[in-house]
Amino acid sequence: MTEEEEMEQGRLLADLRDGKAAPGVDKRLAATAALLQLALDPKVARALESGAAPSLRRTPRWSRRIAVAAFAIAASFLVWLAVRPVKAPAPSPEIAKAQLDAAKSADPASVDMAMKGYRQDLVNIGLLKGAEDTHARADTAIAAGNFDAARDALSTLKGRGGFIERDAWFRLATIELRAGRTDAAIANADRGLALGRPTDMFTVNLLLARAAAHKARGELTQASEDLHAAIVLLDDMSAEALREK
Amino acid sequence: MRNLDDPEWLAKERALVDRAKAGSHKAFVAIYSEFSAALFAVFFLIVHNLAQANDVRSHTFLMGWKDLAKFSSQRSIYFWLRAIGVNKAKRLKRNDKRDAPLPEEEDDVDALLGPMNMDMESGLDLPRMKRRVHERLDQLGDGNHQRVLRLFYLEELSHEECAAALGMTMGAFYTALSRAHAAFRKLWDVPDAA
Repeated sequence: MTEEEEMEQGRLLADLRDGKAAPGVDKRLAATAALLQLALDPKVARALESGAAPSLRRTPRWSRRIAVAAFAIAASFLVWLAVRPVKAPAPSPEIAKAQLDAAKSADPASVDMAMKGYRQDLVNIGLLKGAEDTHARADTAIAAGNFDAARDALSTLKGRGGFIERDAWFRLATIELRAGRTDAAIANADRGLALGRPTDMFTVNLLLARAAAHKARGELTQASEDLHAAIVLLDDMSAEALREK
Repeated sequence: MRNLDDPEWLAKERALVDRAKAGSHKAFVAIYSEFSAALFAVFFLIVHNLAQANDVRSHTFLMGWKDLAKFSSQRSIYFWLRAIGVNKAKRLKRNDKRDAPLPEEEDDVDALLGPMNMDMESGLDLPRMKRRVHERLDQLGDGNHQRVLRLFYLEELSHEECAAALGMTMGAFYTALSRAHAAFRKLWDVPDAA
């Protein structure tokens, strides 16, 4: 290999670390790069621990001052973005299936799990801006059984409004359910539903969480009312999806 | 990751799988917690991209949950989930128009990983893999190769910062990085002493 070729391979390997495509990279060296990144890169270690994909963007130190100035400008734009009402995206087929399963079993745990992958999709299309790290922290805390830390993380989303906050109330409700605190679960679901009940998956999730809490308390009438409301919404959303097709 | 051939674990895992097949989400979440990190690592080794590896993991567990009734192997469910994800990861790689297609003879993850084949067969042992990487880095000695690799992967530095820290031009840094990878790979391919 000539020195020029070595230099080109090095540039491609460097791009791979940053998550960029590197057509033409030697496959064995690419696998080696992945091994080194798995073993050494703190971002990969965090991804392995949290179950969430972190941002791949690396901020060069020389540009941090510029980044601070840009942040100040971007922050005001983000505030505007946060307060502007954004229509919730349609649920994926996996979410819809998990919700139907949860409606049958009155157990929203699988919905929370299915939402985990879906939240990543929302991050990728920029609809969960600013909340991705919060969910990752909550996931890590829940996996470790540390419900207090999960509550603290998700509580930072209070006041965000829209489906971001309603999703946070749903997660807080499921945490209380797991902790056996059904009264707090109902209160959290109520607070989420008080923010609005549009026909979307976040309303369905809140209803499913509240139904599960009522069921756990033996309040079967209230549980069936919430389950019925959730199924009606799911039915409406299916009809809407079919109309769109 | 635990020893997947351990009969005690297999019995426990089979009970979890049976409960998940009966509709227990909790049991499936337990399976997810057990294998999520190791599977993520395997997928990352194929796609070389954190976000894509995470997508493949999400797909794997969603498909696993959907098709769980079809799982009937006597081996750990890890291998079934891994097969689902590896196929998805390879498809993703082939469909990625920005990347060169993988030649068929190289389209074998185990071959690309060299002596970690054994671990891939018995379930990826992440702590052991990390230990082995550090051992091989130490064996590179005090020269530039080890310094370049540690600086580039351990510190969150940009390409330019790495070159500056090493006192090199950008071109010299890329050449050094390529050579360091090749030197590491050579050591990596040497089997462990028995």
